[in-house]
Amino acid sequence: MSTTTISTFNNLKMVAAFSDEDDRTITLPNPKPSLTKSEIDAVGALAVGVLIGDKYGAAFTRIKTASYVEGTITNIALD
Amino acid sequence: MSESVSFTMSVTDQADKKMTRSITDVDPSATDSQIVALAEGLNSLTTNTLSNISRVAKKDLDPTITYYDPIWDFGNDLGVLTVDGNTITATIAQLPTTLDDAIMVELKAKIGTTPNLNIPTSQIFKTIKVEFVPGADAQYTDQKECCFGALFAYNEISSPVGYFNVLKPYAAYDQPCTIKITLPAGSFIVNTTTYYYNESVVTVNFV
Repeated sequence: MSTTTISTFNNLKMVAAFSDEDDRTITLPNPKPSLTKSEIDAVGALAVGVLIGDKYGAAFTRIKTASYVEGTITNIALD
Repeated sequence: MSESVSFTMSVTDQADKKMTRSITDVDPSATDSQIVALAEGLNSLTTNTLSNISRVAKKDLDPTITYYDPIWDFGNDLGVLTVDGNTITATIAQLPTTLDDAIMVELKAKIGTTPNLNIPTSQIFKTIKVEFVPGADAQYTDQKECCFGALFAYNEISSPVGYFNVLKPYAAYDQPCTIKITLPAGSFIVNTTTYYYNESVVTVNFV
């Protein structure tokens, strides 16, 4: 199998919670390293009254989780 | 009128690659300053440079009567058509008494756009529900026994003409019957709906 590494990615994946208990995911590329809870919570506070749930427009409550998601995109040669 | 709001962030990473992030499902009442603060806050978690924030609002077509002003033209006094929001009700005063004379109803509607309203094709109606409802004096409570009932879905059309047919009568009775046409939210008729009774044609123009 011949493969070619195309790129790497490093994303910040945040799960936002809403009052209807339905979550949404917000993914941001190139996060700063060593982000803290207070930094994440501060952004969460800015989302109150702005973000709404995608099903019924439920109110945003908090950022539930925040994760660094890193990986490599590799193509498999098919020809 | 239903409105959906999102905002986009134009950012550049440290390798000078430009990207656009879209954050959907934003409260339509959120102010620009709130959106800007959130966009800047989100970007502060990254090493990207934020260059532009755009608020994007999309509004669904308001299905109220404001958009159309029906002109009723009855050729044979079949009854009265009324419009209430996105519901058109036609009351047929006379019905045939035998199956041989049963009503055949064909509804045709032309869908189009007007320059002022700029209705996208996605806003034209996808499903039209036609019910045959017994009138106030009807002996029969089952709408199918009033004259005949058919519920059908009408596939989305782009433009300019589409039509749908009632299938076949279940029975024919001499009770008043109402045709109730319910349009889904966002629908808009710009041209003609025609229905005929015993091959008499009644044309209703929507302007």
